[in-house]
Amino acid sequence: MHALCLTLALVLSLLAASCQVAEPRLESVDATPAPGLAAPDDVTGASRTKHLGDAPAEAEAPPAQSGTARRMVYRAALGVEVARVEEAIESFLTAVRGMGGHLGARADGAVTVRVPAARFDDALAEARRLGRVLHQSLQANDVTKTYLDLEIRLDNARKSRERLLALLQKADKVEDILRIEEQVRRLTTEIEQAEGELKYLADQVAMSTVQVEFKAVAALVPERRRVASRFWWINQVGVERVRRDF
Amino acid sequence: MTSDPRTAAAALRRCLALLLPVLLAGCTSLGMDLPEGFLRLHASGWRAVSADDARLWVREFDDPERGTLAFWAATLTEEFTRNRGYAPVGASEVQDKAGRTGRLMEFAATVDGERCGYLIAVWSLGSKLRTVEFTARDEVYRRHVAAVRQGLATVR
Repeated sequence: MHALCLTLALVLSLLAASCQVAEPRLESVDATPAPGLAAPDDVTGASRTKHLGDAPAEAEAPPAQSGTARRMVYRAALGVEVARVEEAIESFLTAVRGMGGHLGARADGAVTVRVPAARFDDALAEARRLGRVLHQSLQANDVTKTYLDLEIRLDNARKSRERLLALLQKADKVEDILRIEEQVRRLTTEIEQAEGELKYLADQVAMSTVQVEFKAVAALVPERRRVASRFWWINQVGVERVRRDF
Repeated sequence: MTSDPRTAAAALRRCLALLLPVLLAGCTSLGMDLPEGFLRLHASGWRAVSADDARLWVREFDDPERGTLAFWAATLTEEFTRNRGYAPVGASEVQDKAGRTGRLMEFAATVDGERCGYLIAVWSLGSKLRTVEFTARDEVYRRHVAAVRQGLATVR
């Protein structure tokens, strides 16, 4: 009888573990939206699903609140034409470090940097300041739902593992012990994976990615034939005038 | 009307006392603190050179059109890049000694077969434009540009 109860409990527990949706935990999260990019209006509704595997007391948790902060991942890619590539890269990296960011990758004239999400616009402005923008693309991905789903999956897996461990204490048949241990191992792997994914996502949210490809000015047109400006004073300034009239 | 010479002299002194600060204010000379490594030339206007021939020039121009700073900055960039073949290197806001906001622009250019750096800072002062220009061949430019940028905060 005892073995039957144990088996039944084990089966129920496994069923619960396979259900990976639950009422989302809605603790406050802080995704600082980059100032220059708008975020979608509603993201919390998508993650509001029914909890199937937990005890009734937990299932009756307070409903999701509409004030959940969004988690946004910002990315940008720019091409900037500059007079001196190396100098521009060094200047850009110095500014990025000053913003609390860091270099992600560097190859030839291209650099990929990570900056705190709140400084995303500042990093873009700095890259634009260094020369003439040839192209740029900005991306803002809302990962709130993915994040919440992952948290729920993780929460469920942890709870299931706890229940299995409790059952393991009570199990006395070798066959039951082996089956429970197998499931504990599976859940442990799942927890580790979910934790890793959450960590990666949190990093993507906290730090925006800016990729800048610096290109040297194709050819400085040497002493292009000068056409007088319609503004008198502009004809008085410039390298040629400083050299001639100084 | 009184013809007492003492009263007239006292009135004149009062007038002078009132006018003097105004006159002095009008005489505030155009220029900036000399960046390290430069020597002020006592020719007309405010000009300075370094031993390696970097040139620094502070000037004022009439602006009868009274263009905005944004307009002049955009026009200068357009003229230099499209008309003279300069390459823009950077641009930013800059403050002078009085805290007025100007526009700092830097370019790379090839003049007489030589690669040069060129910096121009512009302030719009109503009917006047104040400019600071700094130019030198590339390696010399890089040697002095930080000191010049720093010196822009002292432009008066």
